[in-house]
Amino acid sequence: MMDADVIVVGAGHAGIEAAYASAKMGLQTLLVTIHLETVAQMSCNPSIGGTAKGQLVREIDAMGGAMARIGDKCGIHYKLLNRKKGPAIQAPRAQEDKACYRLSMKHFLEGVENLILYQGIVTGILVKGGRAAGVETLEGIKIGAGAVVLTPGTFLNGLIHIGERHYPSGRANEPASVELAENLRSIGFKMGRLKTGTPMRIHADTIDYSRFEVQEGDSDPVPLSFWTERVENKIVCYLGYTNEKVHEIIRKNLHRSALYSGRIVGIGPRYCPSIEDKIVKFPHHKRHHIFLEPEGLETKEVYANGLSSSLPYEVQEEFMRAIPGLENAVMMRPGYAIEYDFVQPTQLRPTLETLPVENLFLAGQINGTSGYEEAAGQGLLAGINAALKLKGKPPFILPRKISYIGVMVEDLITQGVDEPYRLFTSRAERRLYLRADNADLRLTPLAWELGLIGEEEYREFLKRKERRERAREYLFCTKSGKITVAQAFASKKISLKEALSHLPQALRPATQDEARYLDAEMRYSGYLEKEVRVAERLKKEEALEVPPDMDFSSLEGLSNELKEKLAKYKPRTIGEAKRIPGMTPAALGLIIGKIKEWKRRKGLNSS
Amino acid sequence: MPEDTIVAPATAQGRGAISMVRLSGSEAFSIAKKIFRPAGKILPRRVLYGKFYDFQENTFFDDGMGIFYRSPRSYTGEDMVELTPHGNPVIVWRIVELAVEAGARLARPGEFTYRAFLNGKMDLVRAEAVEDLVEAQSLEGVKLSFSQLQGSLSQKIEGLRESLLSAAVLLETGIEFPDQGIEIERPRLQEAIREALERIEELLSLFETGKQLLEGITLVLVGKPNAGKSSIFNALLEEERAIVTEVPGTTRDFLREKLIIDGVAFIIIDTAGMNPVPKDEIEREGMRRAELLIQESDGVLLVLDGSSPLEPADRKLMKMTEGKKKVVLINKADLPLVLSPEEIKRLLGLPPLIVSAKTREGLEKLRVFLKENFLKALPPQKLYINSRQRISLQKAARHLKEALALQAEELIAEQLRGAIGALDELLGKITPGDILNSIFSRFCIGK
Repeated sequence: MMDADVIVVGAGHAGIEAAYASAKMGLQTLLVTIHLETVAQMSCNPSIGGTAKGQLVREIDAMGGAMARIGDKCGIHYKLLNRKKGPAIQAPRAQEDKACYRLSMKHFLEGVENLILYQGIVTGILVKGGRAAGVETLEGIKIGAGAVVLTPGTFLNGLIHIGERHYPSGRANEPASVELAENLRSIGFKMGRLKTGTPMRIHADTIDYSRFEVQEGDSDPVPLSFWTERVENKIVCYLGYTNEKVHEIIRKNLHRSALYSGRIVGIGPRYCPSIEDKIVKFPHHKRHHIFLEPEGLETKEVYANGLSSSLPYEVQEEFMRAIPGLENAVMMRPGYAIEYDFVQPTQLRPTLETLPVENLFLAGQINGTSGYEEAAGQGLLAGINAALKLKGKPPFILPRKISYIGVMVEDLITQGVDEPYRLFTSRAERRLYLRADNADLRLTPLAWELGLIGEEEYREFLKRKERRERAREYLFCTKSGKITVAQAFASKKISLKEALSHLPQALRPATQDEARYLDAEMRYSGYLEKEVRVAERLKKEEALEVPPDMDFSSLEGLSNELKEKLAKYKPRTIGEAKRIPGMTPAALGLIIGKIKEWKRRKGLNSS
Repeated sequence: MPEDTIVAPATAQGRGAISMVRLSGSEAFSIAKKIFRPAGKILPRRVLYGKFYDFQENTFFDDGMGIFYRSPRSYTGEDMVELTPHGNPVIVWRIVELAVEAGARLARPGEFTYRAFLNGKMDLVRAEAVEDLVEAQSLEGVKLSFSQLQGSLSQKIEGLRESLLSAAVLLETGIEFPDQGIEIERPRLQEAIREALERIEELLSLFETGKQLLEGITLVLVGKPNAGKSSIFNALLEEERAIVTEVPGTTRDFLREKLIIDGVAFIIIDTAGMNPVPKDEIEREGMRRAELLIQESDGVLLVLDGSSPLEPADRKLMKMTEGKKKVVLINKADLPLVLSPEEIKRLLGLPPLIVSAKTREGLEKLRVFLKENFLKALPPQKLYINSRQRISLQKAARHLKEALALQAEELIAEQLRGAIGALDELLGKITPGDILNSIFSRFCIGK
């Protein structure tokens, strides 16, 4: 095997974006994965997007990522969530044809310049002088590289649980990466264990759909990608409910659940509970939602969203058949829980490079996150930074004030995780600004500079940008009575339709995104302006320089751990100090105070 | 967590039966053991008798008690030692010196409490109450700040925060999980916000009383020269002399003294030497300062000379104190009365008190009058807020008022976040470093 510049381990949603970004930035990239048939596998639910995730997918897309584009190619059911609420919290979501997604993504990657897909099981990282230098595979092949991006997902020491049975596996019937986990431990990474789960898949022809409510896609479906013109709905989903009988069966068999019998030590996500979890934690709920989601156009498998379970097969079957409409249902795959290792992300830099091993980057579930979109966002950032590092260029850091990716990464590296981390819009301080409709305005120029956006795509973006900005300016400058159109709309004096009717024909929104952008800009203008003022103040504070010869070891009240980290990172500004893992507001206050005192004293000495 | 070990005297400087030196930090035990040799084994949280050893001179120099506290069961949350030698500053400072010699560092002002805060032993409100408790000017003030230290306000704020949080959580859940059919009952949400707002406004109304009880009620004594201001000042304070100390103030040229009436402190400022009809620049400056004092005070004691008719100076003072809460005293009741109380009442719209600083006639009535007229009702729940806390509460109230006027969920959520942020700031959950520094530098060493 030939050496590469960058080796990406794992071709899931994180690995794909990492490899694609690195290859686009001109580096010879090798994407190694256990099984080439399962590149871009959607291991759990068939959807991409949703609240916060929809905004995140747009960010990945704005930075030239693959997820949204392939997602639109294979999307079969579109819904804009929170459509009745404000534009900041509206988020696109698409149900995917899973097989299409997998095959299209693989085929797409095969055509990317500088990128090679390779089937292999990586058993260890080669480390030379504290630096990642390549990987070793199960066959004993050593492949050299300048940087390694690890994205092993649930494969890292994966252990599947169904009822009383458990066995090592990375995903149903695929081998776990046991050696790699051991290798990371031996390098000295602080690791923990998390848990997630997936529900059963049901044969479509055995479902009595008359007992379910039809969930249509939107009549005017919104694509995931900025560069997709139109998409359409090809299927419908169904909504049904559990009942007391179902709950009774589960309660009776709780002792047989892997989770409640104590066999699982990993911590699962609170926001995505198994059905047994829901019944134990919300005993007063008489019923729970079940969404039936087809897994594709050329398969009869239907994903039973809401029935994630680690109960034994026969119990899953019993409670499934107690659900109205599923009396005769046939299960094609049972649900299961899976435990896996993760690396506590406080051991990462904001570039996702690890602190202990240079040129080693981690992305996805290994960092304690959950979700395809979260993984992809990290993969993108890791891939970019692996490439930049090898090119000898300064790192690319996404601040939380301009992106959900930044929110996620900062949360991860400063706070660590104690349950699988998922993005929520409420994690973002600037929720009104971090929107799906302006993700390209926020990030595409940055991606262009990095070389992640094609020239034609960029020209298209500039056109979109100009239209939106001109329309915005028009609405903010044209009067409607004594006030501007924007003010009139913000104060609810006129409707959106009325406001937009002020625009000259050429600037009238041509897409839903344009209309939503203008809606948001007008509706939130008071808040956004205030945010800008706060951001400016913050910027000033963050720009406060840390004198290079300042000694933190004598700073009273600072923990030894932080002192060591300050010595290690050598922050040049308060902004950089703020992003040091484990930094607290109180400690930052001490540091700022010390700098000011230091400067005062310097001032005295020099005068 | 800060790990170096700090040391400081915990009791006031001076001689007495006993004093205390405190140590806190990871090396507190080992350092203390070098200086304090207990008779038996060291058991945490037990009062131990022992001798104080000077390891530089190889000699014992005192005996006394010591208590060792294991982290986290201590005031600061760290390992802590309290040493109680005899109350001689020479002994106290020798112990501190030896501790420093053994590796401890002299604590900065308020650092013990600061560490308690950093280690989560108390929130910011309680930490501030420690300061207030030590500084309180009267018994009512002490009771009030102790209640605050016990968490009366913290609990209120926590409760408030909790209810805002559940409103926010409700809202956020609807936003984050649109699939789950969670519908927000708007009237209930509005009600929750309105209720929180009412509770905040109730707390805000406590500001004045708290300030009065803790810092004392400031009254300025004014009157033309020879009206008898100083004799009233002295007569009022006579019985208190024994426990009165000079109240530190910025205006050095006027005398300030503290008077305690039923556990409430009154700070009386005597403007002796002030001439309402200034003749030169110095006297004009005096007048300006007096005017400023009157503006900032809680009230005025206007002293008139009962034995002589009103003069332009009297009228000028009446004009100057117009609109200010005041007590009018007709002094020199021991002399034949020339001023007519009725006329004064007509002029000023309030009945004057007739007193004599010389015979003490009417002074008791004056005391009762002061308390009844100047002290706002005592807070029923023993709560108060300081000006820092008031700013946070006002901020929270502004956000909630905005929230009530809004329709869009994401915008209401924005305001709720703002309000919760303001309460967090109040409790010191997330607090800009500058605030922390200014709060903790107000403490005295070793507290």
